[in-house]
Amino acid sequence: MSIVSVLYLAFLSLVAVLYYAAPQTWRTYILLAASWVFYGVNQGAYLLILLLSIGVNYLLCRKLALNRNKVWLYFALSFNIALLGFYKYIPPILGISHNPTGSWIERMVIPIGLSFFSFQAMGNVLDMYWGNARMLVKPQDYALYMSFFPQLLSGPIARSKSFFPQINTHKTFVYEDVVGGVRRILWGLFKKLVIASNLAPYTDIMFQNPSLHGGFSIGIAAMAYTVQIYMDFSGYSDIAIGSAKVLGFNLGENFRIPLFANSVTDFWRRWHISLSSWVRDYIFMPMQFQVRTWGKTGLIFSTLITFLVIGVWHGANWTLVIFGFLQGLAICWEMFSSGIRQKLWGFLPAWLGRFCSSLLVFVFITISAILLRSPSLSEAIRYYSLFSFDVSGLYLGSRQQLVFAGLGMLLVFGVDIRKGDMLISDFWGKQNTLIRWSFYILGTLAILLIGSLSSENFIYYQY
Amino acid sequence: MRRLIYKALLFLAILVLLDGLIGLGLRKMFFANRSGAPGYVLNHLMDKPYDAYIMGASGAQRGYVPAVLQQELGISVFNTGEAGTNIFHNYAALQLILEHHKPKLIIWDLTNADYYYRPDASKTGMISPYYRQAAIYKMLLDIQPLNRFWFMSKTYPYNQKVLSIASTFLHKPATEVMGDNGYHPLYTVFQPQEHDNPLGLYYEELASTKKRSKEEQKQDLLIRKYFHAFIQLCQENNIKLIAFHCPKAPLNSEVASTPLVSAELKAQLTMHNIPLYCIMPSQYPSMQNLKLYYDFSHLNHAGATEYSKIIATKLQSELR
Amino acid sequence: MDRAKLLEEIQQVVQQVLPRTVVQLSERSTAKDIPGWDSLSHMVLMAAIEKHFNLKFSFIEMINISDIGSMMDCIMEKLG
Repeated sequence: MSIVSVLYLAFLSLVAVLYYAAPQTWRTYILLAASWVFYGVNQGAYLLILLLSIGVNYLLCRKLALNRNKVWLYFALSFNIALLGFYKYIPPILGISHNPTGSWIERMVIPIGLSFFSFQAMGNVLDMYWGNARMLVKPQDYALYMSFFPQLLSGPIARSKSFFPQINTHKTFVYEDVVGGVRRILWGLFKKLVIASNLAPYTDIMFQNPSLHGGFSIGIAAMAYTVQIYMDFSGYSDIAIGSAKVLGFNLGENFRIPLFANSVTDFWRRWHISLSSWVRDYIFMPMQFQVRTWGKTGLIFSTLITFLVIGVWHGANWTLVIFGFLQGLAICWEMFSSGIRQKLWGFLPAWLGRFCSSLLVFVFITISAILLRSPSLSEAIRYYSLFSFDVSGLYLGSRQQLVFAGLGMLLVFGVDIRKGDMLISDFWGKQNTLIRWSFYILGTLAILLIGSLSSENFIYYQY
Repeated sequence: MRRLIYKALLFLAILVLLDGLIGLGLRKMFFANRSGAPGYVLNHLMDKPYDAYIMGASGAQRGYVPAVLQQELGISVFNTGEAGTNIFHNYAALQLILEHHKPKLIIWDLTNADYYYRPDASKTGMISPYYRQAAIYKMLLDIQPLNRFWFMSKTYPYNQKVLSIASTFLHKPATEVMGDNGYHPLYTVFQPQEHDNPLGLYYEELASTKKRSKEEQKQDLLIRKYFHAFIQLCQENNIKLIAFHCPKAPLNSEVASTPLVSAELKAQLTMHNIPLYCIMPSQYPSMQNLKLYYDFSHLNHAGATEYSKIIATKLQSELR
Repeated sequence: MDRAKLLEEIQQVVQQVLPRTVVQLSERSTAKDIPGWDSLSHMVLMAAIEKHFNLKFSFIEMINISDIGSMMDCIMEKLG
């Protein structure tokens, strides 16, 4: 059951009705049952991995709560890293490719959400050790923290400090929250189905066979890919955050108009925030603490390591290592060039300076996103080498889908500019009834009319 | 809670109304379109009866020239080929034809994708506007049970086709499709050196029919259900069904001599007494010329004309 | 050391580490009010404070300092 499907919406509605109808004491169990059903439907027997992770991590947390000994912390970190390594890193490092009819190790897939719930487990145990949250929560609360279904598959990565207190607060049906959540889900569906899925066929063709349409098409496809991953991932996050809101939970924001960032540093404060703030708090800060007397060298060192972790978090591939390294380098450059850059842009009118710096960041992110997409380093280099400013024979894929995606982007970017850092559900809430209702109706009709649904008409998508 | 329910009902009411109105407009325009984008090919089936129909995916659409066949065989021929489709499309097309008349012959451009599920070859978007036809509706539900829900929307059948429907309706482009009876020629010549790995897909497909995962096997069952239903429908209506497999660009001797038709699929055809002609370049020297190909798996117009002449001789002997 | 004197010294250190900061600090100033005091410069600033007052913070103390007031409390406690 993909989170972008009618089945999921039905599932969410059912859970919400049960949740609000049930007495307070049952609610955690209802959400827990729903989450495990959801995971089981998606991943079958891999549910056992999730349960194993919950069990082992909870036991170690209990040990740590009783006796604040480093050993338990190290045990917990090693367990989670080992689990991640076993499923996510060992097969690609050993060069084993997935084969559904092969040996057991070839049949193995990465359990969906493993990177997310393992990071949540590690974040929690570090918080406990550092004393931010020394209290041990009840086992059912811990299990829910690890497996809350809206965020289980692809985040946002929850933080124990804000999630635990929410579990047992009494939640009544709050009209504004539920409607705000639904609004947000619609916004996410729109981003995914009208924009990301309409761009996907074009970028697929271009990245699978770049030499067929070289020249400037290479650049356009790369930019389209940047927009596509933003719409895809932020749309997904909107659905996750909206679903949680329907159930009265506040998850952290995951994206804050990152494509308008005016520096790479700023971009990483706005892009996949739950991951970037996680690595900031649990990797960058402790490392900086150790090397704080090294001055600038220490800062460069911890920044590079932190972004290598972000790169490798995405998977085991040299392209991702370089992706992370590039981000780290850019941020180091920005740290030491802020004076020069300020002077440079100072010559221009403020709006133009802002526009130029945002454009530069977009181009940088586009160039590095090619590394995210390419299956290998040599493929990425080949993709770069095919680029030129030659616009003859420009290839743009299906013109219809391009127009659909373009129309969608016009709305989303327009709203993004208008709303700034405001939450999207608040933005729609502040509009007058006519505009708000036009968005509900036209948004839904747009998904039916121009959303990429029918091309996915086969078995996979809607489940 | 009550407020939410009231508003949700109001939302649904407005949505249903607008959806119905837009859907009605799109339906009128869609069924009035006869030319332009290839998607309207099935609309022609209701206009005029033909003796024979070519059926298949893009290989059929690009490789079988009705004009050549009409000239050689002296019967009227229409090409219903549609890119990215498989047996689902053939079955739907046949159901639509049978609503009006019984053809004599179906020229079936057969590929493994008619028997083994392939996600990129299972497009049903072109069939969805015809969902009111009972057999087609049943098939669409088989393919995707949730279609029962989706088809409650009157705009959904025209999903992603809005621009093409409206612009075709307004501009009424020249009746190119009618002129060549559904055949869509390609005019450029294959440049293998421009492709990264032109043979990759060939070997992938060759391997994929031998190794099916559990998931794929489940989907194969569905596609085979319609493979058999299609054959049965032809037999019940006394339609002669003749299968062809068109050549791929012969980049090496294996491609030139090995058709992408699995042994199991061949056995199925034999069992149902359906003749199969694989026109392999190794046996037909004229098809060895790479200038006859548009890309690895499609003929260009010169190739299609040459190929259609070859299959016309096969058809003549079959029909005699 | 009284709090006014302490604040003055902190102002000097902040000025040194974040030269472009020209904000007059008060006990209520938070990291958000002080341009340049962000996650990247936090530890560098803390190290400078440690050096200036010749004391050592623990990691927990450091990450919990997010405004001048809490920083002052922490320093006062260490200096006795």
